[in-house]
Amino acid sequence: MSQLVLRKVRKSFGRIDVIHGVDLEVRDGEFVVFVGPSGCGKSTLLRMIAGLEPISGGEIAIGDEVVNDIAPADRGIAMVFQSYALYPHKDVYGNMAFALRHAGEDKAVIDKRVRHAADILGLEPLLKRKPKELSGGQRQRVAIGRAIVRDPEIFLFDEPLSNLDAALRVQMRVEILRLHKRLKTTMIYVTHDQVEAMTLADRIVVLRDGRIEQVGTPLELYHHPENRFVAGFIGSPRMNFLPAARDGQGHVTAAGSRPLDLPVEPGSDVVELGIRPEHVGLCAAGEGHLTGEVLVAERLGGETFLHVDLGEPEPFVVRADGSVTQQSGESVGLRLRPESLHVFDGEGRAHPHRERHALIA
Amino acid sequence: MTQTAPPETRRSRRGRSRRTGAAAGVHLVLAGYTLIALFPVVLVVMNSFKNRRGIFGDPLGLPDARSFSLEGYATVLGEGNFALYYGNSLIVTVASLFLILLLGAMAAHALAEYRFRLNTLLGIYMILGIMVPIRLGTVAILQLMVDLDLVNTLLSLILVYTAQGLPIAVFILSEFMRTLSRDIKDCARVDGLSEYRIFFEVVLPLIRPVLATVAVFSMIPIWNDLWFPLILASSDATKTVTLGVQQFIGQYTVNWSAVLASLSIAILPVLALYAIFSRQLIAGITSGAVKG
Amino acid sequence: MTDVITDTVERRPTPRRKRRLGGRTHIVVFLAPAVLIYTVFSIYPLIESLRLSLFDGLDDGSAVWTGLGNYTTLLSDPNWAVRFWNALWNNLILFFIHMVVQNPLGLLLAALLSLAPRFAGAYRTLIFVPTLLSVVIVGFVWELILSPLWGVAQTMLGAVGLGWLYAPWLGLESSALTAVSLISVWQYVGIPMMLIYAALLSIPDELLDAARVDGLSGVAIFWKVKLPLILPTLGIVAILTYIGNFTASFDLIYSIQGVLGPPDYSTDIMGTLMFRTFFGQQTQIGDIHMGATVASMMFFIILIGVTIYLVGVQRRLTRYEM
Repeated sequence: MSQLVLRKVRKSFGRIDVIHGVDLEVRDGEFVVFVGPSGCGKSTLLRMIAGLEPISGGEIAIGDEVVNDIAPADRGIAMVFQSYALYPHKDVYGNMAFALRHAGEDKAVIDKRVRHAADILGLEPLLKRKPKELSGGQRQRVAIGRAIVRDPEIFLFDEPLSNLDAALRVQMRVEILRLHKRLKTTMIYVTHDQVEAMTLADRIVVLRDGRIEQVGTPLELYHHPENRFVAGFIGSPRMNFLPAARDGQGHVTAAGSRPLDLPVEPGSDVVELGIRPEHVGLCAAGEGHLTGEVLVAERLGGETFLHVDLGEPEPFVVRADGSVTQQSGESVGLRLRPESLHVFDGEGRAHPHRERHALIA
Repeated sequence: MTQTAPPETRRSRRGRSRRTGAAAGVHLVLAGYTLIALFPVVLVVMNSFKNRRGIFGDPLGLPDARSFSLEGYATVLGEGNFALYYGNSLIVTVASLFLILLLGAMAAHALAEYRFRLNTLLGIYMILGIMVPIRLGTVAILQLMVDLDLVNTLLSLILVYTAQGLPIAVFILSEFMRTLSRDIKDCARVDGLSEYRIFFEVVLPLIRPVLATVAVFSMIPIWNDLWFPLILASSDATKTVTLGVQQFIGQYTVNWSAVLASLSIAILPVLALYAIFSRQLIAGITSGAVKG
Repeated sequence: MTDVITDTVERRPTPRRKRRLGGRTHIVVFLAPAVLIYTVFSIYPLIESLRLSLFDGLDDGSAVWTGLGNYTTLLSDPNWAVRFWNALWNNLILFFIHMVVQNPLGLLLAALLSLAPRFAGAYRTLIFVPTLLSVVIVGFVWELILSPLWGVAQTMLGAVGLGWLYAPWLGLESSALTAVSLISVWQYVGIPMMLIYAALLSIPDELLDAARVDGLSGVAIFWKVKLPLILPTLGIVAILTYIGNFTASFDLIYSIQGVLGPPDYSTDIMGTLMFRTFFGQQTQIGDIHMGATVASMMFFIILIGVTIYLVGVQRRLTRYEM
């Protein structure tokens, strides 16, 4: 059953269209992440689902009911905001109880639900504190607790971790994941951080300029991006792109490489190839598909990123083992894993691979 | 050892002495001007506790056993109606401030929070009054008050001061409200609060410090105003302190101890309040509100 | 047919009462009271004053249209024009004295305070005291101090060997306006001081550290880094001084010198002229139409100043992101 359905949802501010007819179905209990560069409309779309931003066209349905005209409080949603949005003049308990008190809920019920949520998140010792006495991580936990108390049909998260420092972000990410496992409630989560998207999502919705570029599981997006934008957006370091050409015998080469064996239907229109840094092997100069000069070796300890000059405007990045010895100025050979090549046509669309990746059913 | 040390020490010693010299200069100027700022006030208050001979014989001396006298205060309290005037000033100032803050915050909230067609235009209209002093409309204000039968009422002053204080209040408050996190208001919406309750329960508590600043800014010109009390409410029952002192002194020009006492009576409560609230006031003035 | 309709109605899930997305009446409710009071008691009287200035009053109390007749009278009738130009000139002198004394003094005090010497808080608080007092009180206090009857000023100047300098400044035609202006400076210097001080505080420390690392001395930092950054504030101080000069100064002159701007109109300013014209005094009966004309002239003069500021000054003063 679909918990949330968007049909041809549009939004414009005056004459400027920011969302151009988005269609999406979210299943009950699913964790869906909206991801995209800033200004892509992901937050606007979330706010439209919440009812905070009136929609200019189309239809939003939550649990079979069209909610276009229904006030946010009655849509069965709860929202967690980037800046936590805790009421500074109320203590943690007051913040968590606020919506229910406002709705005139019975005192005992409120107390039970607040304590339940506090228990889930380990907030009991903090219930009497004011927001300004809490750390960033604790505040975010309160904001999530406040959403849990409302027992919504859908949780909406608007970049909830982007104000936290890196270590805390990892920790809270795991907590949110565990929360989803425990509550099994539908969650919609907006972020610009693709690591969050990959680790949290059942399905990722990649947005650009108010349009959906692709919807799929994290591994689908990673192994089978449908276009150049998704291919470049998902994955870190970013995918390398090389201009492709056909030689006299009809073989495809990239940036002057040896002929490549492509994982797509033969005879496709090939303009550009993409390959992720982790799908490239190192070998002696002159061997493999390509040879280039190492510009920089970034050694992170466990792994090393080699930036290799292939005569293209952008250096080609290789993710190698931490033990490789190549240094800047040295020539290296590169071996591209053929099954991991991505093949794009003139419009930036990816040709589908002949075989799906083993991890994707 | 000793041979390597000198250059370093010498330089730092010279630096230090120059710094102490500069610091002394800074204190000289600031303390000097502080004296100039306070001297007249101290002089008047000091002499108000002296008899006539003390006032003229030794204006710069502290009141002593021979010159101490409360005769001025006796005259003022006997002849003037200062308790009433204080009451009037208090009513007018408090009521005007309440209206300026409440109505100003409401309007500022609407301008900062909602997108609607006339928003920008209305915002400019509301802050025009910062540039154009309301006194220029005095002729018409008096006529209006005559028509409304409000002459010689405190209400006439309250209405005029509210109109006078609104532009700067709307300006400062809306600038500040635009910096408030949108999330917290949205969160209240998701929690089911009406727009009115969002204003009263979420926005107002958040802007309390700025409200204090605006209150101080608006209060001083209202409390000290002479023009409108003189024109709109000069009857004995509606006189404010400022007007009361002004007229009292006009009648008692030759009775110096009474004049000095009435001035002190007007000054001392303001100074007492300032002593209590100066920290907030100064913090308010130097905080974000005026940086905008 | 009817059956089908009732059928569909019944098949719907029981409607839970849900609030609709709100209308927009709350915007009106929030704005209306402020806009109403402001319009009725501030904007309407201004417009009405402009309108009144275009009419002339008749003895029977009715009014007759005269177009710009009142303005012509004010600017060219010998009885009026001499008073008008005199008042305007005095206002400009007042403004000039504030610009060359009050604002530089405020800048100096603010700059010294921003060095954060010990007791900075106390200095700041005490220097601001006169600003809190009513102009009426300030006026009388200074009148007493400068009065030859009391002789305080004389005694004090004498004590530092400057007794010969003393004169009853407020009573002399040559010095009355300057004396009044300086009293006003004494009272209001706290405002530019505070505004400039706040602006100086908002300059990030890192920027000053950077200048220090670049080898600038304290004085050089003030002239080359701080001053350019607070120019917009100085612009605001200037325009506030200009506007205040036409309004606040009335209270001071009225309470020290009375409504005629004595001696011999040497302290007569636009505010006292307007008051006198409107309400009349011994030799002259009040005239609301001429009063409105004087007020409207003040309005235009302020407007010219504000326009010069907005177009000529403010646009040229770059506001830096800090």
